[in-house]
Amino acid sequence: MTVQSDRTTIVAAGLPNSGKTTYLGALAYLVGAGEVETAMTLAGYQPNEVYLNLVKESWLSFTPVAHNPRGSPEIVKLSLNLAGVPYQLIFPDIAGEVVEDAWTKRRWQSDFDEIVSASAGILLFITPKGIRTAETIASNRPLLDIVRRSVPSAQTEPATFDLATVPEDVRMVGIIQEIAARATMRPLPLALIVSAWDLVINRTPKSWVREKLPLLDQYLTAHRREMPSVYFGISAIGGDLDDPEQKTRLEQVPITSERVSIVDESGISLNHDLSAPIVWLLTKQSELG
Amino acid sequence: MTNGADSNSSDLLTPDNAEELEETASDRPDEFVRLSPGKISDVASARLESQRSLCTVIAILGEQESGKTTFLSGLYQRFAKGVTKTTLFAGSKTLVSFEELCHSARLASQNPEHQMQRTRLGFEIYHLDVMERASGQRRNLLFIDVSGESLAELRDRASYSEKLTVLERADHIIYLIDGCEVAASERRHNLLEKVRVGISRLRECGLLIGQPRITLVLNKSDMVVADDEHTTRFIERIKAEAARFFQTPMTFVAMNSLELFNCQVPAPEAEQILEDFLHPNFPIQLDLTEPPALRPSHSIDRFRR
Repeated sequence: MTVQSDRTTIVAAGLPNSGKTTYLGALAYLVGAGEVETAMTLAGYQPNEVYLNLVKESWLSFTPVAHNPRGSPEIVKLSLNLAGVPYQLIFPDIAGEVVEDAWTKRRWQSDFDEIVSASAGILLFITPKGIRTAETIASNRPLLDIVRRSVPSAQTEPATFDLATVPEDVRMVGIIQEIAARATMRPLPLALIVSAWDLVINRTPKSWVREKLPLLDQYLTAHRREMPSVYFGISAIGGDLDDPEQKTRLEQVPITSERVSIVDESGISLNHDLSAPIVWLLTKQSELG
Repeated sequence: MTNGADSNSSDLLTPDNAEELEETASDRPDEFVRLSPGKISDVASARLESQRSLCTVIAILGEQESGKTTFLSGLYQRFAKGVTKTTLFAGSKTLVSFEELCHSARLASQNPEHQMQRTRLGFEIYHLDVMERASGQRRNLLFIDVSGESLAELRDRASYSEKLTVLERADHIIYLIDGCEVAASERRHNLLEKVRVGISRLRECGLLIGQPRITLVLNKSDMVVADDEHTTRFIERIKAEAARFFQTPMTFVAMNSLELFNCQVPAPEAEQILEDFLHPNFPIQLDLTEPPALRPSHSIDRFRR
């Protein structure tokens, strides 16, 4: 596969189950259906819409998208208008396993390498579910002592070091460093999307990232000139599909686009406009490019 | 921008030569690009890094068990938890090494107590790219963590210096003194002799040609009784000996590097040391006219002329 060096190639990357494909499915539906107001609107359909239809259908039917975890990236193409200006956007939907392998096996596929070098921006996805932080024994000494005294059986065998279990922000920094080393576009804007935002309580995306992903937050702050960044919180599904009550509630939303919600990094609602991160990437690229 | 890749993009990895490659379900012939290893494992790579602009090379020296590796991993841990006040993490070419180093001190290790792996004979290399919050100034820090065994070898045999030539480029030396040894009256004189001979060897063998700055760290300072006159005078002797042999700008710090892992507690000593790395030309010199007194634990003793 050859990727043209096009300013509108936007890498959508994240670890497995970080919400990339759900976002793309929801975005494709929202900009085409016109049920809610979005800054970007669909300009026309592509000759080949097989994958796009698949991800839209999955989003609409509340089911996960089946994908080949280590196969070639699926390419989502969208023709969108922004304030009357047409954009041909290419989103290589990179399987989370590819990103995971990049960290643990220190290699990625050559077609992903081509995509990265041609990218004009990054959509980086992370889910708040099961985030690991760099907690130390020393910082948690009192709590550990209480647990050991009250539950002697809590003693466990020491776990050997495993690259796959290091904190998510460390892995993300490792991947971004590799992307930054290969991308030819400067500056290379990055929109960090915290998916399943409905699970996060009493935090703004900015404060949540600072608390839960401190290494990534520092890295992006330190690289704000060559990699300007912004954070969003997005709930592309609208709730937890594993909870039968929530699923029923979501299924009964009359205008399905309205189950989507998005907030900016300060926590201010952007209603249902899932195109906001892409608008930010295109605007930043245009301002600084 | 930080370049996380040591390899070039044409360095293709195929299933035939990838030792760790697993069978994967792919729909086309596999072809992979090798990424940076996340480690710096050879001197040539270290030298290459040290030649980059705005790079400070820091040698971490001290006897076995003096806390060298704990000190270094503690610095990284504070970045990993986002608790550094004056500096920001801006990247690392040794993320894998740092994570491996910190593992046994983390809850994820399921170890009952804080543990730290020892540096094997020789040295380990670590890299940090840091940015000063106030000024936005960036600097690459290349750490050479020299094992205590290597320093012992150097004391025994000058020829061992051939294996430590990586120290020649050092801009800054962190020399850790074990507070437990200082506190033990029967062992402290042996410690002084080891420091004296070790530093002499480093100079004689031409391993400190660059007039590096020195930070003398009295580690595990909570083990040292501050109001014991003999101990206080002994510490002053170590400082004086170090000043005599190094003959370069020197700072003295008393701290407990293990406490760097308690990220809920401020670490002003570590913050100050990081700032010193960022400003390598800031003039600091040991002033021996200062009255000999061990400052309370966790204080910084910066003697300026």
